[in-house]
Amino acid sequence: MRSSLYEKDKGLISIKNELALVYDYIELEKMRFEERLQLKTNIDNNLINYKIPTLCIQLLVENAIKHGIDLKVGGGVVFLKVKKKDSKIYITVENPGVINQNKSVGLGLENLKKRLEIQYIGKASFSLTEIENTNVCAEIIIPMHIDDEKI
Amino acid sequence: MKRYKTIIIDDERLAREEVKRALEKHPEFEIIGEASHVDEAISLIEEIKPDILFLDIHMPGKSGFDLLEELTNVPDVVFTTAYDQYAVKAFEMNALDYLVKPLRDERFSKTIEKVKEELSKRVKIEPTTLPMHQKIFIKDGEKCHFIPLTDIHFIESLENYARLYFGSDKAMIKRSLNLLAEKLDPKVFFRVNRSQMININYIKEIHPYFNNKLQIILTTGEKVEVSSRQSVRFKNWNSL
Repeated sequence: MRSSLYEKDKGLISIKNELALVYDYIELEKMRFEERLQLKTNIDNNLINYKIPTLCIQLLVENAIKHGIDLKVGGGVVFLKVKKKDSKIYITVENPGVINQNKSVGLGLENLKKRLEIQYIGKASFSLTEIENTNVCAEIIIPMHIDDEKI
Repeated sequence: MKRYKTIIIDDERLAREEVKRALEKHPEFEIIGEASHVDEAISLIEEIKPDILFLDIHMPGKSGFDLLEELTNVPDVVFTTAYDQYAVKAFEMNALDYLVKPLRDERFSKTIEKVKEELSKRVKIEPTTLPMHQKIFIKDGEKCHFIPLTDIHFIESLENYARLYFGSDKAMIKRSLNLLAEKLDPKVFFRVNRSQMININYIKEIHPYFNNKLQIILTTGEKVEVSSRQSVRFKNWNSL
């Protein structure tokens, strides 16, 4: 986990490495949440060498646990998807819960939006939506630039 | 050896294990129950009537503060939490102690000493009404209070709610005055009329009023009119 944190200076990280960090983090949180926390993934393996902003998936997963799983007595499933569509990468993290309307967007998501803006100059986007009042879905859409393919 | 009935409430099993492990060195604390969320804890507390709770604050669904609010008889409480931001609120509610996880043996032993000292002061009685030295927990909006009944000098009813006055503060609770009258010591809390009750220890002056009624002025300034019926009762009750 620490080794991955050092890479934050570079700004970008391969999806593969980011996922390794996320999985380590989930393992750690499972010690705390035990059967209350489950992770389901659907990752397009052709994408794992693409680079994305460091810790962006980590942030979404942390939020899913902190604002979703942690509030549910019975816990639930964090569903992480990395997909490609129309030469864009879709990273989605879904968790049980609802969006707290009283709370304005926190620092983490605010920073994420800024980083996406700086890195992709308006071509990337972030959204947070509620699904049928039971789940919350956070989604990052990143364009697949040629530049990003370099490892 | 005096043994204290102890309940540990924390949503994380490992955190409960940590408290258990820390308590192993203090056999006078008998762990008779564990709960992982507030609703589970409430039924457990009502069934077992523990002497002391080790209570987490941040839990899924309802918080440790919510738990105390829902209990009518609140045991002594040591909060255990990973955050220090709740400390002030916890002490406002007269928590015996506030432990920040992870627990350290040295610090925990101090807590235990404090708890033992407090618990040894408690006298075991099973009253129908709450003993006057008992502290009650009140949550009014965002504000929490944990105050001895002796501090309450005046109670007035507002439909389904009752407003309690204590010190220079007041708080609303969702209890009818009738229900409170059943719980409070009738020798201390006197129902002066349909909607008001006073703590007789705070009576400063009594004046005759029209229709054989009485008017009572409390040391805290409130003026109440005693209904004719209650005036008679008050006179009979307090005469030689």
